[in-house]
Amino acid sequence: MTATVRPAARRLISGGISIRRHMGQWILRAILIALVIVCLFPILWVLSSSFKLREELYQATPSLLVRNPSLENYRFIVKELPEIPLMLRNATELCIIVVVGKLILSTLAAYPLARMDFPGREALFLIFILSIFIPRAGGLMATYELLNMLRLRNSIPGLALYWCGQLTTPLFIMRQTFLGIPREVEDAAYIDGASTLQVILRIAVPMSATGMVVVVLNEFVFHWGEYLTAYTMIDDSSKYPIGVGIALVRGWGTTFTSQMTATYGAESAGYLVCIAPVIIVFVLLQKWFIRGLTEGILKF
Amino acid sequence: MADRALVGQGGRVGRPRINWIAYVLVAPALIMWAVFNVYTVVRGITMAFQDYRFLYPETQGLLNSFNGIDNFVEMLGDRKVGESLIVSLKYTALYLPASVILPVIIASLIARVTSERLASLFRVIVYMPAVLPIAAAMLVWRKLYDPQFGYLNVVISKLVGQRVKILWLGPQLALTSTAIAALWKGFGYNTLLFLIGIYGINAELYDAAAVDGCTGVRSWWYVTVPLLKPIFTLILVLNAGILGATEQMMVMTGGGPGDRTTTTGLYLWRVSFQYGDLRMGYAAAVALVLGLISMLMSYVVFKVMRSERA
Repeated sequence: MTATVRPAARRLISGGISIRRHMGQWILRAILIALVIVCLFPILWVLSSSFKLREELYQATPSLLVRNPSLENYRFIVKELPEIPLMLRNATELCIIVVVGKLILSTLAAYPLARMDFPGREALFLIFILSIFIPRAGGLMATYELLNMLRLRNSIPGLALYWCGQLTTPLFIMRQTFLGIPREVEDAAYIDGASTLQVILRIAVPMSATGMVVVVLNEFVFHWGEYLTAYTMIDDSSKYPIGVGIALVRGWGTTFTSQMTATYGAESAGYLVCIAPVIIVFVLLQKWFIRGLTEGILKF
Repeated sequence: MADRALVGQGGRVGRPRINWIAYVLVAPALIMWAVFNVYTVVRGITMAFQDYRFLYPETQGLLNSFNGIDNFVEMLGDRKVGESLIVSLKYTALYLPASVILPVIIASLIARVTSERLASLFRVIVYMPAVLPIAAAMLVWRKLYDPQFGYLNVVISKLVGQRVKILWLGPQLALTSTAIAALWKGFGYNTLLFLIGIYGINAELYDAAAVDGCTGVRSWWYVTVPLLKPIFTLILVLNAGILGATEQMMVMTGGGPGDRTTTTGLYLWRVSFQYGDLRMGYAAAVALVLGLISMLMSYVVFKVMRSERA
């Protein structure tokens, strides 16, 4: 009864207010476009400042458009601030180790958690998940002590090792991915005489490529931008990843005002170099990030 | 091989024989997790009962410098703990409600956009600040806030028609400004969580509500919002650490001007890693209390959420 009424009612309502609805769409779009401007403005401002020379930067009413674009600021941070390329390298190294490490650890562990029966499976998975909800309280100090004891403090491998231990999210995404593979495929392989390891390597892993992409991208973006733990565990500024070292640029900017390049311009170029990798990866592969949300955190 | 296939008749092919492989596969992740999560959390708690000073190795062993509840007693007399806790609470009050309410409204607006291409564009751009490195995001906002050359004052000057010089990072506004910058970075993530929740709502519910004369804002309030309750809870849980907010202030204000933006997280970080003897024991005690307060607040939120559902 209600099922027949509903479409009719909907047509009636939408027909009656179609003009209002049309206007509503435009108001909606206007609001959201204002929001888009708020989101993008700081990024665009840095982008434009990084191409400006001194005269344009210090105008009374600076504009977003650049009249005389120049690469001077970029030349400056590469030539005069060798720390910046070095920190970019540190961050790249860290991200590669951590992303590969986490991917391997979480894939290996997620398969049994998704597919194999063994005593303690449910309990194990539960404690992995629950660990998110426990406050880290003195964890940072304890980690500092631990890495110091292992003689891994103030080192990139040490920091990478610590980050590799933060496995809850990748583990969750990989488990979810394995659960999504039709069981029949694996069973068929077993019947054909494949061993467990063969099934994992030849069937489960290749079929979970989507989950792996999600893990790689999310972990890359997350660790590229990580600040507090990296700043805590590493002392030498020559070992900072860019996400930490970028906070030092402001000092250099003012120190080097005697140079041709303006303070703000050099800083902006530094910020841009720091955010560019994540922005590019995100814009090109954005659907995977949204997938990471739907398959990861929302399945808890 | 043949008998394995026979075992598989019931659908549980070959599994009973391979339990040990499961443990081997789980072991590396389990060890890493145990060392860097379980151990460090437990050690962090024990540290709170020690007079642990990192620069004095003889104080590092638990038995050497065990001092019972001395750290907690000292905390009661430490004016800076109280003051920083107030800053943390203020920051939470500024950030948390906005980081829930704003996203749910924005997500509802994006969900109403009929053009799918436009909606997808909005989703991407709204999420973009969330992927930026936190330090870079805060530094960019620091520049925007600059009273002289920052763009924010330029824009406001243009809007009101006269030159303004608002001290965004001055004593009055610093904490609010930091919260705004953090919100700019954080709201896209929450918006997307809400959006996924909204897309998952069965459209028939709206039809049913419309038949009952419930449309527009009312259907949003009576249908959408209640059905998003799990997402609200999730976001509050994910934000449980907000009371310990540290890095935003570290980068944006360095805790200043004065101690106006020195949160408890920043204070204990400095006690632990910057000031004097690096008193990690005392800092761990402060952190423990802060963690307990956070847990208590989460618990209250859970209780309220659950009672409203019933």
